[in-house]
Amino acid sequence: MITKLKVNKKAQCVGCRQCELACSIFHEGEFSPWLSRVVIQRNEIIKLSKPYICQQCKNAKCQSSCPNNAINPDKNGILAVNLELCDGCGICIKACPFRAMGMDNIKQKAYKCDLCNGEVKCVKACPANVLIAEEV
Amino acid sequence: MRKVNECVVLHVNLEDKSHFTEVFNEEDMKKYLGGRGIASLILYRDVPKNTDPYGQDNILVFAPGTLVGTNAPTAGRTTVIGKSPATGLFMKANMGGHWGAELKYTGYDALVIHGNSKEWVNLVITDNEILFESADCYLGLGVQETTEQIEEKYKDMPGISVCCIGQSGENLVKYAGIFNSMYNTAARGGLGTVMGAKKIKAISCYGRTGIRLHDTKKYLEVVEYVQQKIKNIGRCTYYKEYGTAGGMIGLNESGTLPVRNFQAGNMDNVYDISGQAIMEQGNFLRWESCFGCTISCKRYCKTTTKYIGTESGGPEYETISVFGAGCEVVDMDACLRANYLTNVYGLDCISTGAVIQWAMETAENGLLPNKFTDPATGIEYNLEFGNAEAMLILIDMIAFRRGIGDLLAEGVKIASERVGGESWKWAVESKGLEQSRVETRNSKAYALAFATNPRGPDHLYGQPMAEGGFSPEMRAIIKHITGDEKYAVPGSTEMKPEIVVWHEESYVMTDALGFCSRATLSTYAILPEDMAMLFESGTGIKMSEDDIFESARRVINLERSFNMREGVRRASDTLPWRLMNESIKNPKGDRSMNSTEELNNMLDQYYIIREWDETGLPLLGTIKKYGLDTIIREGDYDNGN
Repeated sequence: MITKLKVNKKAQCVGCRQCELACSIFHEGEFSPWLSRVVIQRNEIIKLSKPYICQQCKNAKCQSSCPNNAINPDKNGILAVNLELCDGCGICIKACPFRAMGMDNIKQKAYKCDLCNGEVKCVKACPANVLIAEEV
Repeated sequence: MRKVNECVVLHVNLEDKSHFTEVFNEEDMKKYLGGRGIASLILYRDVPKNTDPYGQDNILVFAPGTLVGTNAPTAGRTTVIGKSPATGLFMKANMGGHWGAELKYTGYDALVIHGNSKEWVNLVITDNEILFESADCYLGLGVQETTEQIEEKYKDMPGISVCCIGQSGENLVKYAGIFNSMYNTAARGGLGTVMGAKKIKAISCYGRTGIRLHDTKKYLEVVEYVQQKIKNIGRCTYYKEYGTAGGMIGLNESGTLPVRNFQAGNMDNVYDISGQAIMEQGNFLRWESCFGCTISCKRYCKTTTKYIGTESGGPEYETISVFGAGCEVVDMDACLRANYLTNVYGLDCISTGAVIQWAMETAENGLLPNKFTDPATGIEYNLEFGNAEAMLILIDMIAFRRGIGDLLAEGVKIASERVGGESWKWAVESKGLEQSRVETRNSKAYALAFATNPRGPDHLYGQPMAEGGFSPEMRAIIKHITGDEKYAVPGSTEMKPEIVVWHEESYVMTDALGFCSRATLSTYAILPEDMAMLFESGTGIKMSEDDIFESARRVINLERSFNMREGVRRASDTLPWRLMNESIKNPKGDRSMNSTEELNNMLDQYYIIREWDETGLPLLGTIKKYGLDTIIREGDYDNGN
């Protein structure tokens, strides 16, 4: 069972955004990389790209900060946003120290990495072996 | 919501700051494939014969490929099309980077710029708005500074993507390029100069419109299949390891490295300016990728001993070859500095290096003074091969049209006309475009492809690299085209017209769908059948391998016709004088050359395959066969002669 994503520090992110594309087509049914659960921050002038990923924290700030108790473990034990309870206040996004949560401005709902029900799409898509899945 | 089977084009008019959208439907998409195909259609339709490239009737079409914005590997590229100030003819240039995807995310599939602005403009395109912002504050700034300042100004639009020109475009240097994502360039033919004439300093995109597919499951299956091919093909890995400049050593060994303005095919100490040296001697900082690219041939590098603090994207093979081998500056740091300067000023490195080496040879032959002075500093330089400082200051003087830079800013054709004498003989150009750093005298498919290329002698219209037979994939393609891999012999003319035709058509699909020729042609990882499958599953438009070749042929005929309408005929399907009249020797001592007879034989066969007449004109039947008779009207080819 995959429990979290990790960044392979020995590999270098090339900034291709394949992970963001794989994530958004899986979760949103369209290519909309700004809605990706993995965020690649690209500094274009020095061509430095860095992935921001959900750490699946044990004492997660996103969960504890949510005023509506909308972030709870799913059937696999992965913290997920309950869309019925989320009111789009954005507190969890500010609370996450890893910049790993985002807001869908159209749906007005927060989103986070749910590890794709166990078959993590971004890991498979990364050509540079930067994203790895940790199995426990 | 955008439909998967249409191409939505935003037309912007700079004269009155108006805009409108035009939708190309499923039938148009099937016929032209989108991207470059639609762009060429718009160019033919909207730019009348004899249009002044700097005039208000010229247009610039920015057309990301149809699949740009999706995860098809390497499909992040944008074609830019307009009438070239260098050649006065059809010009397509193509750029990677991330800008094309961002334009697609605004909901537009292509952008057409009409008219010339009176004031300098930063055109800002979002899902909801088209803004004509003043660009006065960016005037005089280089590409990277312009981009940074725009990103800072619009920081409430995180990820806004900028394409812009540098100082050379503002100063109408004839070979200014269009840059996006800091270092990715639509370089050739002076389309950045057209942007300068139109007074558009930058086009900035910020989009939040997602891209859907007709059949997501099938599309992702084909993507997975081509991803695996890219992973498993040795040449793809090689391009990541050493970049395009990794080719320097091999070309030198085979005597096909253009040294000293194409006077020789090999040189000493080539390792010092190779992609291998970049990796092994401390210049390499990190890899980078264009949008969606899983090859990552690009890199970001620094100097190590001189010009400290110089860092830039690249260098590519063309840059390091044109400055290092062509100007005989066997000095990695000087080459990296030249790469940096052309990136800042927004110059096409090929034409810049070509004109500098032409000047060096012209001085050597006594037709230009062997010393020149930079008016900005009063410092005098020797104009001679191997002089790194002269080469670097000339890049600066060209960008700002200072001193002799004003002459060189016109390109080798006009510069040689002004200097006179026999200086045209070593002006390595055809149709007005400086040749890219590819030796054609012992690569006959390249010779034919360069001669028939409507934009001039370079490799990014046909790229018939398979003729070299360097890899199993190349030999397989040659066998597929000709029936036998024995035709993978660069020095032979046998079957070369057939090989060129296949490559030109594959290149149309590559550009139209947004792929990189690194994936489709030089590594042969993504093949026409793969592109057809991705097009069909992405758009829902039926597309077999035969269909996609037919559409590509339609586009080739249309692009050819643009030049024919301008009065160009067979005589222009030729190569630079030096490459037709002077031989070169490879390290084994064998000499090779191009000749009129040899080229004519290849052209005859090429025209027959293309269904053009012996003067190079598409036959009326050919025009009708491709349904182009509604676009190309009777009398279009009449040139009054």
